[in-house]
Formats: sequence, structure tokens, C-alpha cells
Amino acid sequence: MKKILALLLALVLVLTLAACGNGGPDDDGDLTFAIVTKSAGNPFMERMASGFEAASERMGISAVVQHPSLITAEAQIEVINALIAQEVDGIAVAANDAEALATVLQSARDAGIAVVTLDSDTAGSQMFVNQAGVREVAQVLVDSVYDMTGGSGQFAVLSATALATNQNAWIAAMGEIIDEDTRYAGLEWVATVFGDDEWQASTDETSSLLASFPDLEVIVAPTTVGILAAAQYVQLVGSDVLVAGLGLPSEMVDVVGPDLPTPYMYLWNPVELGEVAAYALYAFVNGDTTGAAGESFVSQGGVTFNVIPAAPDLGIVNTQIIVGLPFRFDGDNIEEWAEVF
Amino acid sequence: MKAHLRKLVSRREFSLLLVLVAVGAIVQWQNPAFLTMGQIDSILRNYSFMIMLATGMLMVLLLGGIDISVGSTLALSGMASALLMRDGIITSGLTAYLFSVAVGAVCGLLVGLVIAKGKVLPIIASLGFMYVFRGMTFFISDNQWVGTRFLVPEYLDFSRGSTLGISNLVWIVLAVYILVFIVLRWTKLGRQIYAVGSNPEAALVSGIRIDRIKLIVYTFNGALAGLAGAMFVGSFASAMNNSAMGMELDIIAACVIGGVSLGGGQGSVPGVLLGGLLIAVLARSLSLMGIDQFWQQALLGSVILLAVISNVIMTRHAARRSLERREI
Amino acid sequence: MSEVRPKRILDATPPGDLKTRVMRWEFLLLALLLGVIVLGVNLHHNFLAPNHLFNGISVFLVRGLIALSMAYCLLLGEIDLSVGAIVVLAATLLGVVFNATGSALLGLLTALAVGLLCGALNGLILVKFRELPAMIVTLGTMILFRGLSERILGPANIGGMREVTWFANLYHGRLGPVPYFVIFFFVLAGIFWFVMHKTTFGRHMFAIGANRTAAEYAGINVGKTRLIVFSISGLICGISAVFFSSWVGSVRSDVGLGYEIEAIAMCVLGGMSTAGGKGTLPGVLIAVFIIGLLRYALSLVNVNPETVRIILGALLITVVTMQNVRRFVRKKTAPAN
Repeated sequence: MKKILALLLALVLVLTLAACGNGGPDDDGDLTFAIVTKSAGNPFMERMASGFEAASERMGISAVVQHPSLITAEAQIEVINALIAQEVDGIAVAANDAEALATVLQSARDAGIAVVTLDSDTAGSQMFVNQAGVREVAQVLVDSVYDMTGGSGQFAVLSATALATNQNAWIAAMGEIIDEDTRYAGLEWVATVFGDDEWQASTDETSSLLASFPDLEVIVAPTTVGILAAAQYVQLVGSDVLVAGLGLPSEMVDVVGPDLPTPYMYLWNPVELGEVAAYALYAFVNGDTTGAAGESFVSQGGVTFNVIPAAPDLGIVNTQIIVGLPFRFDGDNIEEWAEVF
Repeated sequence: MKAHLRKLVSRREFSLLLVLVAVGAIVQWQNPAFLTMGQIDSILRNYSFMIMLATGMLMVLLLGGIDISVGSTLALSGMASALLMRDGIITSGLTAYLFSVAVGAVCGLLVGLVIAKGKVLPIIASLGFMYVFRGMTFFISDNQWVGTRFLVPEYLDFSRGSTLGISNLVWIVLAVYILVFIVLRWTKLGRQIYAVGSNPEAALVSGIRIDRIKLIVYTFNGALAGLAGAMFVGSFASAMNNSAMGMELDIIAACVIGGVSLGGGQGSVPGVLLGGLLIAVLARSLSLMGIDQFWQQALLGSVILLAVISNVIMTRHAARRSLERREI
Repeated sequence: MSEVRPKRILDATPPGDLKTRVMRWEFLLLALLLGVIVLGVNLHHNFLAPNHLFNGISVFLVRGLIALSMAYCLLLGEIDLSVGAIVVLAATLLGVVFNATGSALLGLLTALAVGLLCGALNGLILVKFRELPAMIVTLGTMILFRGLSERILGPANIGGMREVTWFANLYHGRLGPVPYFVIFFFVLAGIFWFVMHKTTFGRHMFAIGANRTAAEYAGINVGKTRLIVFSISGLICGISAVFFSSWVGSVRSDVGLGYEIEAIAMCVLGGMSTAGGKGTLPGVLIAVFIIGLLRYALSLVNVNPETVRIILGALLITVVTMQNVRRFVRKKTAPAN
């Protein structure tokens, strides 16, 4: 016991010495930006991070890429805590929860760090870098269904995890669009299921949808894992159900095209999304914008962005800039884009 | 004849079969699309990995061990062989399968070595390797997926194809079940596994080389996980680094429902098969019956609890009856 | 001094030998901890900056809390796999009650009650069906509890607790640089140490873990002890849920994923045997800090979490194997007695 005490004392001594010996923050003047994705092992997030990294480096800023080990807000908070301790200058985060990150992001901002969200928004950030307007995404999804069913018929939604804020926002907006416009009166929305962005679960749900709704015409999957799993399953069993949604060209290249399960699909460029997030952080650090609605700034990429107000009913709680419109991939261009992302 | 029948009815496997039939009947009643060839084949194929790995876990549990690293081993071996296909080193489907099995066997051997030679408790050893193998999967793949077009077509055709109307994967599972059934029932190794699990000291005294048996069983379990890795990647036509996360829970649950004791020495191949099938059918049944998906986990948890508790009650009942009979 | 007293009664080895053995293990852990700290200081100059350091410590202590009660379960030779699921269920109901009544206090009490009840349910099943190992039962309740939370929350999250200042301060509040939560943790750890090493109840736990049948014959109420230990485990999960809600301010059904595995890893590294009857609470405490600080240090230099996973897994296997090799060597070299 005495030995333990002695050792503890020694430890405390070392701690104090080390604490005293430590200086203040970095003052070398170099900027460091960090991006925190939703989780490791998701190709979309990988591409987004690589865009962020490339854009930062082009501006002479060192970039840190952090993929949390689990798709949870908790894992992200742990990472962001460490980034604050490292005194980075800007953090871009794709939030796993609409509320949970607020405190840690606030303390980042209190420490003078610029914070933007991308992909999915959360309270506590200064601005949301929106890949494409929520309504616009929902609109192309509804129009895909309308087109693929020929104007009327049954369709079902296969989403990611039930907790994904961006997917939930798109699905909610799809409902609004269908209710508002009588053009879509012939569409029958039979089910919304969650494949948890997992292969096995997504395949399971697709199979159940096919079995439960013999008259099903279209499955729309606004998630890169879900659309691939659904399209492959439909192809495997030779069903004539069509699969619409949002997918990565490089993963979907074998199932997109005429006479294939997915005639066409949409997405935005994740690389560009990451780039714009880096530019937005720079704009904050450089004082080009304060993030207030109505402002506009020219990014280091030479594009002018207008800051528009938040849209809380669509899950966007911060002011936002819109990167672009959803882009359509079909048999004609998929090969070419598969090389890009 | 009557005694024979009573013995059959009182067996655990029989009551499990009844439950399975009852669940099947309810689902069928709610949704006639359930009992179709396509639907059954799709359930079997989608859960073939879990159902197959339950046999490996059975042998491990019979020894009184446990292996929670199988999900990670599955992902690692599947990813390793997919990467070699992408890089053009593996060009045939058979090699892909064999390589994946080999990687799995090495993983299993490592786990077995730490358990048998390092004398580390199985749950701890496999917990550590669960982290290590999963981490290595992300590491070797550099966080990327391996997409369909990088995989060997022959490999995909086999993994996704079927023979005589039944998926090839289901045939593989069937073959594994027959193999394990034969080994456990009719070979010396099988008897030794039961002996080690039910009474390690006695087994040691009777000259069984326990360490060697442990190594064999864990290596075999790893090899099965490797096989499942190749099947997984082939079936879903993509290799992802988060594949089969948490699958070990389903596998252990299948064994537990199937009447395998975590204490070792108790459990049968048919029981495990029924346990695995029950989990597979339950997982699919909710969405087929149009019941809210969010009930799924709560239902599975209740089924596990009910299964183990009813098992205890049945065992007690049987013990009491045999005691009564003896008194008479 | 007499930390190992309960073991002396049970173990045939001479007390001096046992004492040095256990002591040595903790020294090794302390050395390891010191190593981690030196590593951290070398990796990043801000590692010991109190503000950030305590931030990092608080994060892993939410899980570290559970290691305390897990140590009791392991001491009995049992495992509680349902801890993460109890955390999420307690946090979920905390959120539900808070949203319904607007009272954070009621929510807090609900979380504690839910934790205690879930733990007691585990305990009751184990008492009623004493043949069952805890691993099977808690595997079932783990899936059940998390499933209930999934059912209650569905695709939504429940939040807003952060707006209540005193509630947010449970986790975020600080006395100087030290968070109240960290102080609370050490007080709780002290209580756990006292009960385990200084009371009859603690001796009973050691006795049951070492040899359950012998303990029964010695007149120890095994069922009651099991019930109490699992209820404590549940209650601690309830407490962890309160701090989690105070910390994050939003509850979703994926909260607490993998807590059971981390808590077990911390205990085992700390020298608890999963076979029961062996281990000390100070060992667990040091291990909590080894794992937590190592993780924090590596995250400061942005080591990929997957690499961290490999390092932690390898650390666990090496350390435990080393422990066994040490024991093996000692057995070989020790004179027969």
C-alpha cells in the first residue's frame, strides 16, 4: 500500500511538472481544417472527405479527416472534443443527430473554431452546406416514381436507418409534394421500410416488399446502400419492379441503364460537397461571411454562394448555402461518372 | 411404440419445431406470399451465413468456450479475397473461396492459440480479436468498398446462382450441417468434444488432448467464418468493411434458442438448425405481416428469454418425473 | 494494507505470496498508465491541458461508471451483457417523462428507477431459474431492452434536456477545472471499493465467485447476492443514462452501443477474472484510465478509430496473456507448499 501511495505521489508530480512545462496554443499561423464524417466505411463519406481534403490543401490549409468508429453522435462528440483540444481552426461535420452535437459544437465556437455542417444539419453549427435543397431532392424522387410507374401505381420507400435526419427530411418532403399536387393522385405509397444502411437488412426488406405487395411497381431508396441492395436483389430474382433513388455511380454502374433494375438515379457530387464545406470554413475564418441569411460570398473555388434562411420544418436549423441540384445518372453517362465518384 | 413417441415429443427439438411451424402458420395466414419457393429460398439465402456459422459456434460452445470474433473474421476474410480479386491476383471463383476459407482458418487458429496455449478465457480472447480483425478489415481496405465490377464473374455467378431450384449457398450450408452432424455423432473427435465440454477434468484424466481439440474446433470455426465471408461478398456482390457487425449475437442466440448450453457439453445439430431457422423466419415475418419494424428486436429478445426459461422448466419437470417414477 | 483480505480466507496460498502477486499486477497497471500518460504528453502538447483533459476524461467515465458494477458481476463469475441496453432504455424513458411533464427531476428519477427495475428483472430471472448463466439471460434482456427503446423512439430522437441548466450541469458543471461528474465518479468508486473489499457482502461475492457450491454450503445466500449485484448493475446503468442525457442532451435508440464490451474490457485489463472470485477494484479503476487516456491520446493525433480498435484489442490480448504467463511461471518456480 505504501508503495502504491508513493507511486501515486510520483504520478501526481509528473502530472504537475508536465502541466507546467506546457506552453500556450500553436502560434505558427498555419490553418488546420477538420472534417468529421458520419462513420467509417461509407463510400459517399469517403468521397466527401477527399474533396474536403483536396480543397483545403489547394488553399494551403492542412486537413484532418476523421471517420468515427460508430454511426452515433457519441462517437462524433469524442472526435470533436479531441479536435478542439488540438486547436484546429475549422470543423465541418456531417451530423449523426439533430441535437446531440449542439453543446460540443458550441464549445468549439467558444474556442474560436469555425463550424459548418454538411450532408446533415445539427444545432450548434454556423451554417449548413446543403448538398441540394430538400424540396428539390424530394421532387426528383417523386418525379422518378411518377415516371417509372407511368403516372399511377404502387411504390414503397426503402430508407437508411430510421434515425437518419436527412433521409427522414426527404421522405417527409416527398409526402408533402404528393399531397399538394393532384398530378400525383394516382400514386399509392404502400410502405416505408428501413434497411439500416446494411446489406443484409436492406435485402431482407426488399424481399418482404416484393412478397407483400405483388402489384408494387417502384421501390425508391434515397440511400446509397439501400438502392444498391434493392437493385441487386430485384435483378437476382428477376422481378420487374424498378428501383429509383439516390446512389453512387461507381457502385451502381452495373445496375443502371435501360432494361436494368434502375433506369436512372440521382445524386450530387460528394467531392464537390466536401470542397464547398472547406471553402465555407475559409470564408468564416477569413471574415468573408458571418453566416447571416442574405449575405453572399465568393468561394476560393470562384463560385458565389448566397446564404439563405434556415428551414426548420425540413430539419435545417441553420442558415444554408446550396451546393447544386441533384444530378441525373443514366445508361449514357454512368460509366463516365463511375470513374469520378 | 408409445414410449418411443413420448420420448420424441418430450425432446426439445420437437417443441422448437412446433414453435417454428406455429410461427410459419401465423405468417402464412397473414400473408400468403410467405410459403412460396422464392420467399423461402430468399430467407434461407439471406440468413445462410448466420445459420451455417451456428454449427461452428455449436462446437465451440460444446467445449464450454465462446467465440464472438466470427463476425469480424467473416468481414476480414471476405474483404481480403475481394481485394485480391480487385487487384487481379485471384482470377477464379474457387480460389476466391479457398483463399477466404484459409484466411478465416488462420484467424480461428490465432483465437484458438491464445485460448488453448495462452490460457486466456474464450470471451476475452475473442473479444480482443473481434476488435483486431474488424480494425484490420478497415485497414487493408483503406476504408473503401470493393464493388461488383471488381469481382470475378464466375465467383459471382456461383454465389448468386442456384442448382435444382435451390441457391448454391443453401446447398453449402446443407453440406456443412451434414458434415458437422456426422463429426459430432459418429467420430472420435465428436465424442471427445462432448467429453471435454461436459467434464474437462475427467477428459484430461482419460488422456484427451484438450488443447489440440480446442485448436481444431476454433480453427474450424474460423474456417467456416471465412467460408461465410466468401459467401457474403459473393451473395451481395460487394465487399464492405462493416459487414456482419453484430452477427455473432444472432449466431449465439440461434444456439441458445436451439438448446445449446453455454456451460458446455450440451447441444445438438438439429436444435441449432431449428434455432437458426426460427431467428431467420422471425426477422422476416414482421415485415411480411406488415407489423412495424421497430418491434423486431423486442420480439427477438422475448423469444430468447422464453426459450431458455421454458427449457429450464422442461428440464426440471423431466427431472421431477423421473424421480417420481423411481420412487414408485 | 488489507485490500486482499477476503481472498485470504478462500485461497490456500500463503497471504504474503498472494498479496505480492496482486500488488504486482496493480503496479504493472500503474506503470502502464504512466506509460500512456508519457505517450500522451509526447504526442500532443495539449494532452495535459486541464480543460481539454477533463473533457476527455468525462467522456470515457460515462462508460467507466459501468465498469465499476461490471466488476461486481465478474467477481461473481457472471457477465451482464444488458448494460448498454439498460442505459438506452433508461435514457429513453428519461426523455419521454421529461417531454411529458417538463420536469428534469422526474426524468432523472425515472431513469434511476428504470435502471434499477431492469437490473432487478435480470436478477429475479437469475434467482428463479438459478440453472441459467447470466450471460444467456442478459443476452435476451439486452436485445429486449434495446428493442423496447427502438419501439418507443422509432425514427425520432428525444431532446431538450439541455435547456434545464441544473440538469446540464450534472455533466458539464465544474468545480475549478474539475467536472462535478469526475468527482462523483471517484466518490462512487470509493464506495464500490469499500463494499467490495471491506464488507461482509464483498466477502460473500468473492466466496461465490471462487466456488459457488462451497459458498452455498457455507450458508451464503447466493440468490440474494445475485439479485443485489444485478440490481446494482442496473442502477449504475440508470446513473450512466442520466449523465449521458445531461452530456448529449438528446436520446436515440443507438445510445450505449457496445458499452458492455468496453466495460468488460476495462475490468479484464484491470485484473478481474471472468471466471469469478479474482480481482480488485483499484485495478479496474486504473484500467479505466489506461483505456480511456490511451484513446484520448491517440485521438489527439487523429489516429484512425479503426487503428485504435486494433491497438486496444491487441493490448487486451497481450496483457491478459502476460498475466497468465506470469501466473504460470510463478507456479513453476514457486516451491511446493
